[in-house]
Amino acid sequence: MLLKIYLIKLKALILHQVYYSTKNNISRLAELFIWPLYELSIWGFFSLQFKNMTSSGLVFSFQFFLGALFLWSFIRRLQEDICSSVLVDINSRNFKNFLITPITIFDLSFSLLISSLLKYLFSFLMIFLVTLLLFKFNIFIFLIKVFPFAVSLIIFGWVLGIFGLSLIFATGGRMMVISGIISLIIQPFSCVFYAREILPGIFKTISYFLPISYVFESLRDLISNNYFSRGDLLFSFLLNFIYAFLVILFLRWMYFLGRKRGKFIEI
Amino acid sequence: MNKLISVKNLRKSFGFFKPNLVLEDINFDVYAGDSFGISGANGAGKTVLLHILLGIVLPDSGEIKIFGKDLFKNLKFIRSKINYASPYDSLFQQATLMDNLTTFANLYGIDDKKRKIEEILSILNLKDHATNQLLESFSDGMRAKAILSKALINDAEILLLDEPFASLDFQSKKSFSEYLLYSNKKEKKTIIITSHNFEDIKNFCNRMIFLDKGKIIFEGKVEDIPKKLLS
Repeated sequence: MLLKIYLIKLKALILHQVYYSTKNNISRLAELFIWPLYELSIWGFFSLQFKNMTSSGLVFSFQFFLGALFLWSFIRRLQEDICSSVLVDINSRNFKNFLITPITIFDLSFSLLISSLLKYLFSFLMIFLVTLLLFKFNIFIFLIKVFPFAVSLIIFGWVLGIFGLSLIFATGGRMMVISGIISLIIQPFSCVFYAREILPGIFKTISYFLPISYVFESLRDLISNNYFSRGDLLFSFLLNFIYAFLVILFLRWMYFLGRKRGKFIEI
Repeated sequence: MNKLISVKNLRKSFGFFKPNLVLEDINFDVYAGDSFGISGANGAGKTVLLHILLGIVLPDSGEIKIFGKDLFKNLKFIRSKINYASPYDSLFQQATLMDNLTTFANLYGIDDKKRKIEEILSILNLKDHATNQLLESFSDGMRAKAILSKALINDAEILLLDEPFASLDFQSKKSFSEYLLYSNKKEKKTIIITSHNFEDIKNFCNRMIFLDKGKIIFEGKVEDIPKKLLS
């Protein structure tokens, strides 16, 4: 009898944690698949790249790996920060208070872009010190060398952040998990740690549409051959501006949908 | 009398495939200096109506004019002259009340922020807690007062309050009611409150609408409301 009661309680908890909490929440459902796929693809492609490097006699570049990691952090931190700043207010039930002040969503978005960059600058100071002290790698000199690449990445980080913000607007925070990890979803296609040439069919095709894949491809050229394709860099900027334009329209549309669906009543 | 809010043929539903009609055929006017009540049972549509007036919920159809201007075409102007509070919302939890109020004073472009904030804190008896405590450590009642304090920051011509007396203790309810009555009678501020508690509406409002399942079933002076609606 006691065992039966215990099993009923256990069943209730598991049903709540697995079924009820995910069945009406696309974001949590997607999370179940995103993480394994992300880790498998990133480390799988990285292993392929590593194998190609050693077999072709290339020396694995520690500088490149650390540099790529550092530059990737631009995108990840900016995108996450834009979304998390809003989510913190939503969790406090304070976000509506901003929406009813005499500011527009564009004022709000612009302030998020600036504050995400300011916060990243603080992180950069820490990254600079840690890489210098622990790895004897001066990230500041590296940053000066790759400055145009960094600018392109910042713009794309912002674009992804505003995309996440739009999803939050449309769903009133229900897509908070997905909106927080958009940068990770696109990372396997972004050629951060491996060359585009090792990607299989559809992955490679998608990578052509991502401005950051051109940045990391050029960066590899710059580090290994001391040469980079200006055309690739310019193309990444062109794609960035197209996406920036599209994401502004998307933001407007999602804000409209959020208001239509009453998503701002309880945030 | 000067008409401040005019709502005509308002309709709102949620859902695409199986629309749930929450407001239908809503028509009413609010005049300058009114203390206007919106009452009805839970789920009658009071909160949705208030959020439509704030411009953060879009109606399916209908016309809303505030200060004689179309609400959705003049949001920035209208929002600078109105404010809103609900005890079900909150301010930023990991900051002090002073920090929160300073943020909103800046967003509303208040000139003499310090004086205004101090005035509000003394009305709501929050002076002792404004700078030395994070909002997350406030009790529910204090949190409700904190959110009300935000609504007073811009000297709004129209104050929209969703269930403003819920969660307030007797003393706070008394002092806040007195403040609202003062700003309504002396400063001629227009105040709209929603409440499912008719006593709050009766004590405070001169005119009201009563909603039932998204429709207005009574509009007029508070004292004229049919008794059967209150049973």
